[in-house]
Order: sequence, then structure tokens, then C-alpha cells
Amino acid sequence: MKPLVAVVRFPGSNCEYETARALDACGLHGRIYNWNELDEASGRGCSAWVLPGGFSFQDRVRAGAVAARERIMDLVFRDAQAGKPVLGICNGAQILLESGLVPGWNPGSVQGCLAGNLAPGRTGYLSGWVFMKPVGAGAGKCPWLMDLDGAPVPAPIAHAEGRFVFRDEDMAGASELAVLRYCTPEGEEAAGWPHNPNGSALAAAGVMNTRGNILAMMPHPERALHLFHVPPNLPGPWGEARRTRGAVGTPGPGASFFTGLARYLEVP
Amino acid sequence: MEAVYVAVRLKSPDPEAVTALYTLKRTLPCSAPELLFRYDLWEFLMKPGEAGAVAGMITHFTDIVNPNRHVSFILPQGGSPPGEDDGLSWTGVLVWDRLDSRSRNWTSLLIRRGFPVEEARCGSLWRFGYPREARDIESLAMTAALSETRESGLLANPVSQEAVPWR
Repeated sequence: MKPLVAVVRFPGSNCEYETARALDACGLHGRIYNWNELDEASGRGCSAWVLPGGFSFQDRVRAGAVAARERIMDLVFRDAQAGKPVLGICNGAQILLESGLVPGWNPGSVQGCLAGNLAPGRTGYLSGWVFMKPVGAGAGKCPWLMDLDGAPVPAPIAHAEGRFVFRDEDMAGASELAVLRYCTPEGEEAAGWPHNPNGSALAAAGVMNTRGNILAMMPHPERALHLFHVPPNLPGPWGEARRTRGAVGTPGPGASFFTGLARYLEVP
Repeated sequence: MEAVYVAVRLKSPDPEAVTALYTLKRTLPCSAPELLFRYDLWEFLMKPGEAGAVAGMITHFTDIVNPNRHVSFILPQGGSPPGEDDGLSWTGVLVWDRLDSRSRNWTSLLIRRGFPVEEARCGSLWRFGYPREARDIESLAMTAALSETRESGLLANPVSQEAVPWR
């Protein structure tokens, strides 16, 4: 039987179907639960949770702030504390930071933020493809990153509030947890715009908790699941593969995040 | 420099304020207000003697005040916008982003266009209406505003934003 992975749909989520399909395609069983299906979500005993992208509660007040206070997050919190893997993608990442699950030095305390993009001469929503790569020894203990080989991974971003912010005194600790960082197509750490598209501290594209079972990431791996998702003009080996190989049926760069979880959950 | 404050609100009910009010009533019933209003609050630091230019400046840009959607008020620091219900006691909390490209870009745009502005900054002014008998409403409002944990306040993330009493 395939491990059940709960995908939480809040009012305004808009990536739940492709996220569930990405899980299914990688040997898992992704099932979508509405934010108010508490009994069903708690009764089925899922192996992992995914908070998909979108605009939960229309991003009112602050992206992720209202969803973080919903009761279904009590279940996510409980399972995350028990060590089950949790992934937040884009708006899901914002919910994880507003919940205090990431960076999680003191779980439940808000110790980080995904603030508005900060780029020269630009304000607001940003959409495009970026490159990221796993950084540091900590990445090895994160189930979602187990199948990344260290090479730059392209994936799309689409957000207005994607800039990781930490307090000055927390930056050293955050540096150990910022295990996914924006980089150039060649793999050098992004020094600024355009490779670090939102001015994120530490060029962080994804930050995990101290235990390593929770990952909050802004790029969308489910939108890079298949090779045909990759734009043919993308620089680097993935763009080259897209141009020269048959794209249908070939896994894309984002598949590694979900196959990593499948390997962690020992899917045969 | 002279600071001029402009509060801008929607003519229709503000969905953000409605969601915030009901989330606070559900999660923090002891600190939640009876009514909650939200305004975009613009702080313009004007060149000496140029405060009068603000009215013309804000009507020049419909991104600041769109007369079809918004009403605006020029306020003194700590001032109350008109139209608040007299049956309640009112207090305000101002939420600023510590760093935001919106304010930076507006400052740059206004200066480029020749307006006598040194700096522009945009935040949110939350107005809390509590029952008359409620005590220490400023402290209640700050509790409701500052989101130190997921079970405490809502309106400001303490890592990237600052919340200050509007007085």
C-alpha cells in the first residue's frame, strides 16, 4: 500500500491538484484534504504533509498568517513534532513560517518571515524560472532533499512575498538551516538580482527546521515535475535535455523532491 | 522636514479587516475588538514649508488614492480618522515593514516627478474599537497585533515588521 501524503487545501490554494499528482507520480498516494476536514485528516494517519502553493485566504493580513491559525495546522504541528515530513511550497512555506514550524528553534514561536520581494526598481509579484541547489551537510537529513545530487535545480517561482528574513542575532543559525539556496545556472551562489530574485537573506530558496523533517521552499517543484515543463531556452543541462531529448515521460528537475520522500518512506 | 500622514481606506467594507477581525475573535477572544478597520497609512516627509503640496500629490497618483475606490484623510500624528462609531473606545496600531521596496520605489518616483518630498513610507493603520468599559485598550490592541507565536497576535510579524501604538 502506498504511503498516504496529505495535501491541505485552504480557501485560495491553487496548486493542490498538481502537488497530489506529483506525489502519485513518484510512488506515493497524495490525497487532498480541505482545511476543515479535521476528522478525516486526523483519522487516516498520513505519513507526511504537504501545504501547496496558492493564496490561502487571499493573502489577507499577511501571506499565510490566517491559514497558520486554522485548526488543521494543529494536526500538522502535532505530526511535525513527531518527526513526520512536512513540505510547504510557496504559500505553504509562508504558512510554515507564520506557524513557527520553520525555522523551529522554539516551535510555535514566529522566528522568521517571508516578506515582500525586495528588488531594485521592482515591487510586488514576481514570476519566472530560477536555479537553486542544496547547501550544507544539513540538507542530507531532509527527506525532501535526499535525491538531490548537488547540481543546480531549475524550478519556477511565482510570488510577491518570498524574501526569507531572520533577526540579525539568528542569522548564524539560519545559515545552517537555509539548505536550498538560489544560484546561477552554473551553480555559483546567487549574489543578488536576478539570480536571487527576491532579495532573500542568505540567498535562501528553502529553509528547513532544526530536526530536518520540515522544509519551507518558495520555488514550485511540482511545476517542474516533467521534462516537458522545462522551457527549451533554459540555460544549463536541464534546458539542454529539454531541447535534445524526448520530453514526454521523462522526469523533470522537480521530481527529485518527491522521489526523495518516497525513498525516505521506503516505497519499493 | 515635516511629516504628513494620509490615511486611505476602501469605500466598501475592507475584506482584509473583516478576515482579521473574525480570526482575532476566534483565536484571541479576550483581546479581540468589537470592530476593526484598516487604512493604508502614508507618511510623507515633506521639504520645509511644503506640507500643503500633499493633497495635490496624492490625487495625482490613483495608485495612492483612487477616488472610485478610496476615501482619504490627512491626519495629524495619532489622529483619529472620521467616521468611527461613537459607541466604542478607539485606539490604533501602526504596522510598518522594516524594509520594503514599495516605499523605496514611491520615494524615488515622487522625487523624480519633482514633488517636494524627502521620503515616502507606506504602512497599515489598524483601528480597534473596544466596548466603552474595556480597560487599557492600547495594550489589548498591541497584544492582538503582534504575532509572537501562532496562537498570539495576528497583524504584524515581529521579524520583518514593527507595530507601534498610533498616538
